[in-house]
Amino acid sequence: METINFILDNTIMNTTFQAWISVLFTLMMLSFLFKDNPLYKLGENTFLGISLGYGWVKLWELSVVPFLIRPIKDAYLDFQPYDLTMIFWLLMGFTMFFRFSRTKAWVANYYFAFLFAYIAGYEIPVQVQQLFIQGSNMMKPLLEYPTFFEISKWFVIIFGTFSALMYFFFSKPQKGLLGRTARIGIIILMINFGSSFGATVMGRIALFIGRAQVLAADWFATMVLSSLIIVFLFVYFKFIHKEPGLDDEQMH
Amino acid sequence: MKKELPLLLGFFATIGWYLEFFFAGTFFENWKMFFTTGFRSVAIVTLLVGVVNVLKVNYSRIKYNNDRWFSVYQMLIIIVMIVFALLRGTSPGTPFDAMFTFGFVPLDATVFSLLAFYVASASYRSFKIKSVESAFLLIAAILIMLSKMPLGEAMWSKIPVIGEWIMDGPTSAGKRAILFGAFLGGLTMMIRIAFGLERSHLTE
Repeated sequence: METINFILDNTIMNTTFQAWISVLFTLMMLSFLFKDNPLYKLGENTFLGISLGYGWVKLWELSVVPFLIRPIKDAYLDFQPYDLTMIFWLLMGFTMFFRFSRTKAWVANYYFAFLFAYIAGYEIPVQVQQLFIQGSNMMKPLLEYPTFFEISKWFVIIFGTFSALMYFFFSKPQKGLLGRTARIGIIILMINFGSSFGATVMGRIALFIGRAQVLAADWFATMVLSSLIIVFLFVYFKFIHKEPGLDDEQMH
Repeated sequence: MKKELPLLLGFFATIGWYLEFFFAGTFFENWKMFFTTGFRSVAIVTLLVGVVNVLKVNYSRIKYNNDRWFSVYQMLIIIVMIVFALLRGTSPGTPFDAMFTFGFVPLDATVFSLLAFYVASASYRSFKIKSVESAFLLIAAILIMLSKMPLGEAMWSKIPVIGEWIMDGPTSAGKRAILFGAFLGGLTMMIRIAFGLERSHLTE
């Protein structure tokens, strides 16, 4: 046990190691900008492995232990008739695996019908609430901030939302006044898509700047590791990796 | 009976949410509690399905030599995470947490930052002003991008103000209209599921 603790303290719990591993993973993923390569795949599988391991452990802690292991333990120590329902629910949960059967797939209907309906029961008031929240947020007082900037925004929000909703109104042909309103609605939606696109790109750029700052902060690790990665990529693509040739293409 | 009984059970689970709200009494409280306990127990099985699925996918990749060693490595990382959690727990300052902070976070941020290059390159190739609507899309995108960088302000001091106006005005109007549609659609779908009218999630 002492050996394990020694290894842990000098690897993943060591601040220098942490900085280097962070830089290494960043460079491994950025190597994809050159070409798909084994280092990128290694990073990809590390990403999957850590996220799956983290998710499983956290779900075990937050769901399985409090809602399954602990009730079973309590039922074993002090049995109450109500505890029998747990057996019913567990059996119900396992009916899901019947979905993989060709002849008895209908048994899984119990699982899916219950799960979907329970979530629907929870979601109905939430959806209604969200509609009211959106409505009330839209209808602010006109002269709350009496500036041209704010008043013009108020008009655009009210009439823009209305005209964009008209675009989604398909119960009548979109001609005449309705058609013209729907056209304004399309423009509002296009501005929305454009600005969402712009904001997304800038968000990604901000993430990239964050990674660049990490690389610049640990410049020594960056220099060493990027040199090693460049050498590896050169050797790999020059000597190890085989591009599919004419013969391979003919074979397929 | 292959669909009716499950739908009836689902209906009882749905109305459990409202009966407790409208009628006082332990009977309705227990009704809701019964289904809530059931939901938690049943949802745990979903975790098992996820675990089985990951094992199955990696097993077939290892068996048919489809990036075999990467699958082995992925399973190894999962095992390492579980071992770290067993050895020192999962609280902040443990190896488990350090793996997340210094392993997952840089990988996650870099993957998403890579998208900036691909989105920019794809949009450069595909954005063409063919109509008035597409012109609005492009102009809004350019103005928002300029408003979020120092270069925009350096070009003209009003660009950040225009960007803010676009985000608060037309963008919020468009987004709100889409959300209205989405919430109405969601509400309709939930009511259909609750009353057993929507059956696409059930099999024969």
